[in-house]
Amino acid sequence: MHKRAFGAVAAIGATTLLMTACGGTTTPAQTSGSTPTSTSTSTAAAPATTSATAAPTRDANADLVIWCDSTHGPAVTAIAKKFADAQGLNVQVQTTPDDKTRQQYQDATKVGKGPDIVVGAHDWLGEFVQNGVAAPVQLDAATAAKFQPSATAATKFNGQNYGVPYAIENIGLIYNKDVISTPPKTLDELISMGQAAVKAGKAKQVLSMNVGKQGNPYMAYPFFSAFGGGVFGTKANGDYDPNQVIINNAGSVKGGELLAKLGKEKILSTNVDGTNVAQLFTSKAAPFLIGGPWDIEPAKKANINYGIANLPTVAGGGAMQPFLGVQMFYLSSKAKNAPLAQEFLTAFVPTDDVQIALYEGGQRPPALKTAYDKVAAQTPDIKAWFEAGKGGKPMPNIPAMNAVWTPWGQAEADLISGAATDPKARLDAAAKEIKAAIAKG
Amino acid sequence: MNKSIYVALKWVLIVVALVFVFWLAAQLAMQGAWLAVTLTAFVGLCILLIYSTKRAVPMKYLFPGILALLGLQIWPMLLTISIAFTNYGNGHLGTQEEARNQIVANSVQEVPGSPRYKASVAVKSGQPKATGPLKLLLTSPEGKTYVGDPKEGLSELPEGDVTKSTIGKITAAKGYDVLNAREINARGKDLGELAVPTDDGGGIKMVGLSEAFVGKATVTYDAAKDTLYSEVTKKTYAPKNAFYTATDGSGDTFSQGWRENVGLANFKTIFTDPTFRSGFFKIFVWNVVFALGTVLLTFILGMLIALLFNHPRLKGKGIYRSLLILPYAIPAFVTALLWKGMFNQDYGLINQTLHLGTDWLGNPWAAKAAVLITNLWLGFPYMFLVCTGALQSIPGDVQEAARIDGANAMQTLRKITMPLLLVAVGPLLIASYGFNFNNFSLIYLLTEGGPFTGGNATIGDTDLLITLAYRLAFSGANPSYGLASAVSIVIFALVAIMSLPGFRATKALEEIN
Amino acid sequence: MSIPGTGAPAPVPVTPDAPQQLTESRAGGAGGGSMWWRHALGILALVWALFPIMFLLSAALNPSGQLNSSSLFPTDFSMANFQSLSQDPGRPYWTWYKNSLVICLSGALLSMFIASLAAYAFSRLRFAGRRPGLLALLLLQLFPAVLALVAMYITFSRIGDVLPAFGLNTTMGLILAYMGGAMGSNVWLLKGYFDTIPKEMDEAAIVDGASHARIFFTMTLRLVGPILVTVFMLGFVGLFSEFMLASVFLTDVDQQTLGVGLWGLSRGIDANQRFGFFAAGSLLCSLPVMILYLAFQKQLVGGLTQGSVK
Repeated sequence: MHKRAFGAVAAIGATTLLMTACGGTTTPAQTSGSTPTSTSTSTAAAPATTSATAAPTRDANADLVIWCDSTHGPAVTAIAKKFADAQGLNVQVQTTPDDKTRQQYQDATKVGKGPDIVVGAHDWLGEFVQNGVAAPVQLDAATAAKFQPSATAATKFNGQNYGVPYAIENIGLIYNKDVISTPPKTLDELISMGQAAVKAGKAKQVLSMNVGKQGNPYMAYPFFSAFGGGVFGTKANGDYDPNQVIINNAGSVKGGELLAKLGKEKILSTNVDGTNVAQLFTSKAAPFLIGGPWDIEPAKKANINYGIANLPTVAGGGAMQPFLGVQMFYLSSKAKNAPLAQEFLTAFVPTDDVQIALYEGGQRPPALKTAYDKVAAQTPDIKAWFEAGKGGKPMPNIPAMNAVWTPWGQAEADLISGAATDPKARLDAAAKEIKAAIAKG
Repeated sequence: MNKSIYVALKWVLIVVALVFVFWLAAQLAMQGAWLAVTLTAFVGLCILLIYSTKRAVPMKYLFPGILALLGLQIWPMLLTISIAFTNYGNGHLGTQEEARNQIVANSVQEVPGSPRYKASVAVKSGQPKATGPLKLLLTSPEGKTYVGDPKEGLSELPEGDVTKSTIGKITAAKGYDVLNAREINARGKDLGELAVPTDDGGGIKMVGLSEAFVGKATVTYDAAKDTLYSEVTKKTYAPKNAFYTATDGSGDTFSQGWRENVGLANFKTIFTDPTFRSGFFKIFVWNVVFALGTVLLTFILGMLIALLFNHPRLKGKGIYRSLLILPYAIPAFVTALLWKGMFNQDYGLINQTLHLGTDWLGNPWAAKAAVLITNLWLGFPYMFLVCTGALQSIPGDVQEAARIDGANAMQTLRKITMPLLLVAVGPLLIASYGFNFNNFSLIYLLTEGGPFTGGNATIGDTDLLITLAYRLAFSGANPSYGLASAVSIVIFALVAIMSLPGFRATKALEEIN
Repeated sequence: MSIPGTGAPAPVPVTPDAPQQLTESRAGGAGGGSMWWRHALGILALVWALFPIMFLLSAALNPSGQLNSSSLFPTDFSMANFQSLSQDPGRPYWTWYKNSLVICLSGALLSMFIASLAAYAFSRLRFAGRRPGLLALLLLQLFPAVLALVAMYITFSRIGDVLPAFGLNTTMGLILAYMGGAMGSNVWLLKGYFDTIPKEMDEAAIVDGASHARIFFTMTLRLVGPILVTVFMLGFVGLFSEFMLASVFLTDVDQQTLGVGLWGLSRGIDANQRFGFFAAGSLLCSLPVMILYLAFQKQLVGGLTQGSVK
């Protein structure tokens, strides 16, 4: 019995070592466990040729290294190959784990093992500058003017331009065309249409919007912006000013009151969170979904006849304007191949071909005007997303925004759940918490 | 006989190890890491002393483990502890010099109204492309051609001496060798520092491979006073709290800060900050309840199920047991996510099946219950395994004797089986307590420490000390490794003190011959 | 213990090294009697253990790949999600699978080896600092390891400068990093078992002229098979679901483990889009642990606690 067990373990060990050898990692002799037999276990893996898939952090032969997330991996790889072929170079695209790019890029750059270029969202910028991992990109005025103004604005920090945008994303109103024939113009209309659908047995609830127990202020922001509320006031040059927290100004408080009212009426609920928000729409429980381009694929898979519309206007305020998120290429401050990286960013990324290729990977409206026009002419969804984002402001990219999300979200959740009854007092408390955190930073 | 082969093998391994250590030390020496060289040499010496002689037999067995322990556990621990006395965190990762250089470099702006040149990079003919002084060959928007030198500035290049591409970029020039893309890239570092001075105080710098712009730093550094001056804001900035802060009292700062020692400030925050002080005690009590509760609940359930299936005439035990292991076989972060969905107040299975309206994840007490239930589910298979094994090793004659003495089933269980079981699984229960005290991933995945009641977003009702520390270190308002490290030291001290009685108990469990 | 599946009572002990196993019938305290209530409770236990997994199965089989948190049973049957596992070039599931197996098998094996060396010394040899050393091992486990991530990262970045094969984003580097956990409570578990092996055997071998190394490798290690299997298994399960350290270490999608890959899929704003992939992938994750369990079931049940029974 024992012998057999021992043999089984040994067999597994041998298999493992074989697999390690196939894994393509080179293995010099290891001595940390150098007792009479340990060396035999740790040196069995023979050096194997390094394949493309098992590349170390940086391929020494690469002339340019780009990091991006899994979603954009294939598209970026394709355009990088184009660039590489045109220049006769070796470009390496490395796909980072989902949801980890931001942190890993900073960690790796700090120890000199980062890429030359990283693909990410514009609201990482403040933190990148703060931690010294992003370098300015000197786009000439003519090229900069080819982008949507909101996109160029988003890539600026403290008056300096830091990257090249390629897509804009924002939330909008997604509705089920089988239930709702024409999208509502106002929030009241939305509610009455939804309630009629519930009454007719075509739905179980009016609206699905991600709130969650800790709130989701990115989604809730349009309720504040409709009344002129927001996060930060702006400086004279248009930059967000961390010293002017306005989450409790008159407009924001009105937005808070509206959220509380909708919470009371069960239109919004903290029980709708990231895990079920899309499912409520795709299972036809809710005819309306406040969501973004990421919700389209699940809706398609579930064969929902969906439409995309602008967020409605609210009584006593204006249109609900969402935050804009801009996706962009960052230049590393520690780029080992700065000239090529700059060439890639300033001469290659601002072209229709590249922007359209990236659109095909990510399904977001391109940031380059001419590319957008081409895509929008053929794809109504993209046009609808772009329209829904018109007038929206880029999410603040200043580092102080890190101090905002959690307290602001909790205030939102408390108002919707009814845990806080006085919107002004709750938003004041959140503002106080945020200001204290910013002062500490 | 065989023995000489083993001895030879031993020496071969020792020599291989020493050669590797020597090679490693040489590599380290080339990089100038002398502390590492010393340590490596010491390790080599240890290998020689321990394995070549007949002495130090225990060390022969302990050495690999001690090496792993020192290098991979104690060393990171010490590093973490040293961070607790600094302000290390977002915006405070590097040195003051790095921050300053970043500020100045990032302030370079294109001079308004200045031309954009088409540009190529070249060296004087005959000089090596890899090391020779670099020149910029420039074509102005009007088509005039220049050569730019970082010392001498711009000088015109006769039209006849150059060949231009269709976009106007100079591809060849008399007296110069033009670099290709790869060659330019190889000189990236030199190019980054190269600027051809212009009359207005700016400098012509390359962007990419074929363009140059006239840029000017809008922030200047005064080394004598250690201040920065910005031409944009017209303000002077001096170091304050590890940031360059405007001296006019406006609170304006550059966001790039630097790392510095802050002494005991982080510990002071833990014990004086009002949110912290009130929250810390609350969290600590819950942390103990959570760890104890988890161990007790999982153990009781695991034991009961083990007793249930511990019957020779029960059919299908193997199937039951294998299926019960399934929760253990799926990564906990997956199943925690499922439980989160099931606890949903409106849409979750639990409320729908039991017709409850409990706000599992929003009510502080219900959330605590939800956490314990989930952890019970995650942890009972392990206890079930442990108890099943232990039950089989309990001597049958003891129970037989109890039965003969007239004890009923319940009494046998309480008086005989349970105590024996506890002796058997005791050390594992202690280990389980230690693990759950720092069970970061469960809380992080299920509630993220929430719900956050009472209008704050710092201290949650299901927070453990470890989730609090993690939030301080990696997310939230101002990610600060320094503060988080301080919290981790306090956690360590607390757990260590609490486990002292447990350690004494191990004396009883461990016989010393 | 009965032979799995046959349901036949086991008339003889299955593990010959555990001679006191005849007494299962009385351990439960329900002297014989009918079996139906045991089955009823057993099925209840199975329901409790398996219903969350039913969700996962429903979501994995549902072509729209959504988690319906209020209904247990699949409403749709489709293998589309399982097929999608090999169709996303940005998320090479099967590469992750292979990486996980390599890392977890070798990591668990190596740490088992290191720990058993140490346990041998603690159990068999007497030296100054033996007891403090054992206690120090327990104490060190109490340090919140999550927070040492930053320090580990910096350390391995340096290691990578000198030994690229063991740096960040390498399989070998991650395995090495996991060795930090080798000297933990495992040593206690092993030492407890080693203590139960009669010392007289060692002494007899020494009289025969065998060296301590010979005794350890050719005799002791063979006798402690069950506990080795147990420690290996616990190590494997632990590493298989580990994602914190791995997600800091591994930056390339092709180097990732299942833990990192699936964890990433469950995060972020577009997590919904790939829930089907996530569910199918998670379900298949349970296979290696189940196979190992079935293969080692007998050793495992014997090995977990005998160490601490005197």
